[in-house]
Amino acid sequence: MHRPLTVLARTAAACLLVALAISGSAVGKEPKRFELTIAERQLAEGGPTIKVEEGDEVKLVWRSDESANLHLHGYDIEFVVIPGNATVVDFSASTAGRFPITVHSFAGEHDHSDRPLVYIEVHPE
Amino acid sequence: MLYRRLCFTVPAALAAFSLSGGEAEAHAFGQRYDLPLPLIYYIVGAGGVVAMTFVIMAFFVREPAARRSGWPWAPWQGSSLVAKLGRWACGFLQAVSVLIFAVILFAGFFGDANPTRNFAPTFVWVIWWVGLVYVQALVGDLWALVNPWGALHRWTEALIAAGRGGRGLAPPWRYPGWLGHWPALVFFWAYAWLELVSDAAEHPSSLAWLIVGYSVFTWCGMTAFGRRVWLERAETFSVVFGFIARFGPLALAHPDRGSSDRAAGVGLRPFGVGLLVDRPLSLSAVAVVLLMLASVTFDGLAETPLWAGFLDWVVRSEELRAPLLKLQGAGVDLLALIRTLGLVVTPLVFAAAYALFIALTVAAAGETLPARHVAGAFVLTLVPIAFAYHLAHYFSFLLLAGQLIIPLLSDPFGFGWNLFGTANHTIDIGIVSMKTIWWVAVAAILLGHLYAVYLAHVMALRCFSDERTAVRSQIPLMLLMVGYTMVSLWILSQPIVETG
Repeated sequence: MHRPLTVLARTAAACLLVALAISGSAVGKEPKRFELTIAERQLAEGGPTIKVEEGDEVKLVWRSDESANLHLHGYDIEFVVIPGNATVVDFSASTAGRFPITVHSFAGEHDHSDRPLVYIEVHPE
Repeated sequence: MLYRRLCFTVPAALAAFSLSGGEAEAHAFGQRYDLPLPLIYYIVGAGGVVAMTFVIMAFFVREPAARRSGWPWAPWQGSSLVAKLGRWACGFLQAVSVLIFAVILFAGFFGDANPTRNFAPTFVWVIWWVGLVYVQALVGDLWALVNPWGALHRWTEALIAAGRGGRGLAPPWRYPGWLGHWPALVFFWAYAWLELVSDAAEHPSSLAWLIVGYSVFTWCGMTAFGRRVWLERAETFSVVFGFIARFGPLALAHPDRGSSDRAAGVGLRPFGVGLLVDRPLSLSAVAVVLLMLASVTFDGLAETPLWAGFLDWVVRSEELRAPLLKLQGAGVDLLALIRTLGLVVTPLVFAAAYALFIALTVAAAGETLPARHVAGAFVLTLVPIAFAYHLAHYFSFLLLAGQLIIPLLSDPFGFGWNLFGTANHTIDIGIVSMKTIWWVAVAAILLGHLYAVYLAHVMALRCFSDERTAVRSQIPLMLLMVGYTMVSLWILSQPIVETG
């Protein structure tokens, strides 16, 4: 009667070890870094699609010749880029899918086209 | 598609043209974040489809039970308790439906003009138009019970009858037989156009006006020709949702169709059996079904790189340049024009392909069965493939965009209310994983194909004189079904390209 319990305990221990190993590797994971540059209201560097894997830490480094309000859909992250300084956007790619980053405004004026500047594709492992 | 009217990835050649029409305010409203079906799922799906077709052809054709039609099964028929419960449930659902109808109109006319902060567009386009398809196909004809136009008309008639001492209103005219389902066809095309081409119907106030217009038309039709016949033949949504509901396991009697003891008319049947018609559908009904299938496919097709490439070709073409520029100068929205043409051509291609394969079926059978009869008998067996594709295509959309209704329930008009404390709910994109979506898509496509092939076989056994003829007749239709399923699968494997 003890046998199933032993098996259960062993399995649990193994699971725990695996979980620890996975979480350990996740902590040590280097973020994936992408440089993106906006010039004349277009994406001049990076894109048009950025591919990462589910679970990746993503670091987007933005440079722009004009201030702009951007929106990463799905993850629903809104951020501002300004000329001169680089804007860093960090997020963890927890959900797979294809998510556009659109421009909400350039230099304070509303951009009606709402066109995607770049797509982030998060692929399942 | 109006949700996806978000952007147009502009190639350099497009600089001279602007194919995008109007402003796209509806950002984030009903957007899809799907990744295309990976190659391995596509191969497994496609192989499964072909294998399944042959397995069914080899093993299921000698099914004598196919000739019998013992469904639906209704052991509680005539029970007064069930009838009473059914009437209460029916009345309750109708009251809820009419309340929602009123909320939609009020939101449309007086609510916030931003579609994402207004109950009307999300409810109509996501919950009702996409969500109800699932209820219809997986449960039964709920729409026939809760149709607010029918319910309001019935109540008004009852009030008038009460005021006149029990004498109701008799319709002044007979519904002309030649009219068939043609009004439903015309309005369904117009509706598909609103959904897939125009962006008018995503703005709350124009949506409300369109609903008012259609309501007046429907009430006039029901009053002029009788509610029952109008709902059966001319009311687009009753006709379309009715065809879809034939797949469902609950056979519900229509409140206007059954006997006086209407609520007792509930029966059970296996999935899909309702698609096996006793009498072949009329030509107009066949046309409605084919338009349903074609519009669903066109919806997906217009997001593929193939379609984007076609638009690009149109724009780059030297011959078309001059007339297109002229049209654009005259204020024509070129993208809308091309999509409109697509919505005309796709159903015609479907109709031509169906007619061709029906002619082949008749020829293969070698029996003197009129082609019209065969076309009307088999058209509904294609519905499971269309439903499967719809499910694969919209499953994640419904789960993600459907969440928009949660904050809107608390604040339907954008007045800043918080009725149920859910006004600040944001969409949780992690509700379903991409792998689950892929598995559901492939499983749905395979199951839909299985149903279609099986139903077509049963139908062939019923239509043709002997098994040998039935099997022979099935070869063309099997080819059509494999082709149709493959097109669905292929669209799912294509990356979504938003145009518009």
